[in-house]
Amino acid sequence: MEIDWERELDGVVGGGAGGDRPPSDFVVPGRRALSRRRAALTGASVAAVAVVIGLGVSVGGATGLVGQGPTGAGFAVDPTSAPSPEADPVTESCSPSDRDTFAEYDGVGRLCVAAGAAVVQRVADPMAYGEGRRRSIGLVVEREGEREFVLATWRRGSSSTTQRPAVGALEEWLPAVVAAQRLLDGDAVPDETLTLDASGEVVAGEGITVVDQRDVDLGPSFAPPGSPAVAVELEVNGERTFALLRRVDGTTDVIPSRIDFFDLDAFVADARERYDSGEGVL
Amino acid sequence: MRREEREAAYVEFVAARQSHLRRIAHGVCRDASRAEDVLQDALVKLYVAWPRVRLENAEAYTRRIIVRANLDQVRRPFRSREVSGLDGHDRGEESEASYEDRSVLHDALRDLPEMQRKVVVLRHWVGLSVRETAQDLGISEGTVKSYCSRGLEKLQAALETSRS
Repeated sequence: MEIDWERELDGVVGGGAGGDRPPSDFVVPGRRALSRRRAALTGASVAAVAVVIGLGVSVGGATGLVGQGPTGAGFAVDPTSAPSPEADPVTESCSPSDRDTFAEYDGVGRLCVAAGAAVVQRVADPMAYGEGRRRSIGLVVEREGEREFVLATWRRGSSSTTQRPAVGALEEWLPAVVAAQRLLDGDAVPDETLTLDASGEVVAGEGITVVDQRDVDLGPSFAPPGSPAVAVELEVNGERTFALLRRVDGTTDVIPSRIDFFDLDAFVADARERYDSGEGVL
Repeated sequence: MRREEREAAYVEFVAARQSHLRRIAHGVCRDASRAEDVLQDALVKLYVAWPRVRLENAEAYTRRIIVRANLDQVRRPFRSREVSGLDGHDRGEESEASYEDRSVLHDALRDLPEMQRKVVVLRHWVGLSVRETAQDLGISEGTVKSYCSRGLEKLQAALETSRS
């Protein structure tokens, strides 16, 4: 007999004792948090400079407070990037390659925004590529009432887009995604790459600390038998992230996680499930 | 909209949806104290974001904060407020499931790996689609299906064991 899971779960998904709490329990700390955020944004605007945050430099953290603790992984904050109440119209003439993508760079480096979508916030060059043949941008894009965060990057011959539903602030979402993109970029910032040598030793470039590492066997869909494969927990300028490394044909592949985990055990367990199911980590 | 009006709208939303959001938090957390922390954090973040979150998106926004939290391992060292466990409080309409079944199912749900538990609650209690669940959790639809299948298998096995 088929189980009515909604009914079964309704009996066990409780709500805790005491029932609802007064709204002041949320309004008062909410006001305090809002004041802190406004103070931080105002401070940044008065400074009137784009604060380019590099590895090893103290950056604005998860609360967006400039100079209060390193949680970023190296991205540029445009002090004018506070959420604007109204969406700016976008008149780009190109379109993303599929309809689920809200914005991306095309092959020649033009930023393409989906028809009917509007950019409501931009962070210029969060990858801190600087002037050159690479481009990056962080965006909040809204379409049909749905808001998405986007990190788009471009270099000649390739582009990359990471898009997730907008939850929280763009400045809070970007650091981890930037860190992951840096790993993906590989040759973009040679000093920050990770290498897995033939003996299975992890060699981290400048700015990256290997917090924990473990040899893993995720099956032949991940690495050929006998090839070194390692899961690592990393710290990139105070931002924790995880990645899988495999050495195939003398070169190292780095597969960063886009999801945070409590520890390396949790990351490895999740990776094992994903590779068992054929999903992979990305 | 003036601050007073925005705040009034926020308070109205919290009053209307707090109970439902609390049940989601308790459903996806192993630990009741952690569930209250997660709900608190989510509703405070919602307050901060309220000027740019549309009312019709507020529940989804808050739910995503709840389900994207690291639930099992990250706990604050001390909470002064005593909150009891999942069972026995603020339930919706009483289901026909027996007390023993509920207890077994409660334990089995609590023992699921975090992502499986989140997927099962979102898909089969909140009623989200595979796509919506994937978006909430920031994972692929295939992963949602995989987690869901494994999670339900474990819950079903627990129920069958209890009934045999």
